[in-house]
Amino acid sequence: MTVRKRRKSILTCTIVSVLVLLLLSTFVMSQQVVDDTRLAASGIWTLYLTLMTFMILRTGRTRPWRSIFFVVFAFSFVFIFISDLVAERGSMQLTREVIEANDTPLCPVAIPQLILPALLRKLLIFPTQIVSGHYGGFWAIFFMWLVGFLAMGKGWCSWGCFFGGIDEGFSKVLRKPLLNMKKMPPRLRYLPYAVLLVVVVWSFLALEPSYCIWFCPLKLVTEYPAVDNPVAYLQAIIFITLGIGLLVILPILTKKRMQCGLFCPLGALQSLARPLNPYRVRIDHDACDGCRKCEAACPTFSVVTRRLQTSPANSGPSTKRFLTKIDRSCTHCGECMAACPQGAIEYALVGVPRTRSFDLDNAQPWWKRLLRVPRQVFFEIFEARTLFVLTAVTFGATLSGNFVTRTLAELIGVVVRLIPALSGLGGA
Amino acid sequence: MKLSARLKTVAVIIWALALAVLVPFFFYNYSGGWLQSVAAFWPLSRP
Repeated sequence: MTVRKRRKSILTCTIVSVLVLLLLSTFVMSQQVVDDTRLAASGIWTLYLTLMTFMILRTGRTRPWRSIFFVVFAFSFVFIFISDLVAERGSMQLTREVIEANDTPLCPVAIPQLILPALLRKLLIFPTQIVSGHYGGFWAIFFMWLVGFLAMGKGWCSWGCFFGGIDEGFSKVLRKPLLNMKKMPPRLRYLPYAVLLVVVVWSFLALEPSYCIWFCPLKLVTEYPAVDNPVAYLQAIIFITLGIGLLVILPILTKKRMQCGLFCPLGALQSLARPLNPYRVRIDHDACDGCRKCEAACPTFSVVTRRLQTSPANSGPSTKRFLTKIDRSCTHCGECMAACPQGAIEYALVGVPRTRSFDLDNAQPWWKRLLRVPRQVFFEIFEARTLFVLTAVTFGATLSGNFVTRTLAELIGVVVRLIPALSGLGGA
Repeated sequence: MKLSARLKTVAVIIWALALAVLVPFFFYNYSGGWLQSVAAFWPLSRP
């Protein structure tokens, strides 16, 4: 078994990072930002995303760059969303007037329940604007998700989702898990599909977004209805319990993304629709030694291992004892790649075999050696990892941009106000 | 080239073409505009 190298040449990494920098700078310029702090915040976020692209390509590891991006994205989203709600309505409470005015923000996680009534009965069962409105509206949010999903596949869950960074953030609190999930019953992996089935059927029959009304743990960090009757009281108990359990406590204890891995119906829908996107995470079984470190590192229970039948004659220490497989629920976060000591796991494209080696022989003719660098850069740019990271960073930046730059601008504003106050204290 | 490999290649080409059409829409500031025509094509009402 050989340890595979995953580093890309500095030239390739620089070319792709500069491309990201140019793309993001164009977005920033097109936003017509006049506020200095907002411009500074956009600059900081653009530079971070450029550095992230470079480092992921150069090291072949997404850790810790993607994780920081994703957690900052989610917490910024929550901060800005709640701030806007409080500024507008005075609280996070979802009032009857807002629902009756169809002015509820639509969240992508609600999409699976809306598809059947929209397709079969041409009904929109969520109290939001139909085309585009105050908070985007159904078609705007639906297309945002659809294009993101077509481009990144299940990568949406680790690079584009507004909420995934919440349980990911809490899953990074401890260095080691207090609750080991290795002994989790394998059937629990199917729980998101069960949630999906229940909410789709229920929503279609009742013509109401049942997941949002009864289960959604994310109400804890977005908006919740008034608790003014026994049913609302029961719903509040459910969403508070699920929210604290799946978003905070269990991720801390297990170091797994519990809401994303075991509950999210949008994640389940995307797992089922996986053939619509050609990006995959692939294990090279020749290089894999079955150590199961990827299984422990996977935050969404997407690495499945099976014990191999070994005969006593070849059961030495180097014999592979486990066969590892990436499940369709994989969110392309790259944690398994960072954990794999053999470098056996890599982004891949359906139908494209593993990358060829570019180490050309010195005995080759001079013109072939001259073409070596441009050839290497060309093939490295069109490799699955480069294409996926470029897509994911571009979409991630677009989706996160508004929320992160506004949050950073607030922080910069606080620092700018604090510095004269602190220097005044020092002088006194 | 096996049939399944060819099908995969065709699928990847269709995917790339679909993205080539959809991604510019995504990055275009779409509040109104073309979304109106999508909504007109598939009109939704309230229960």
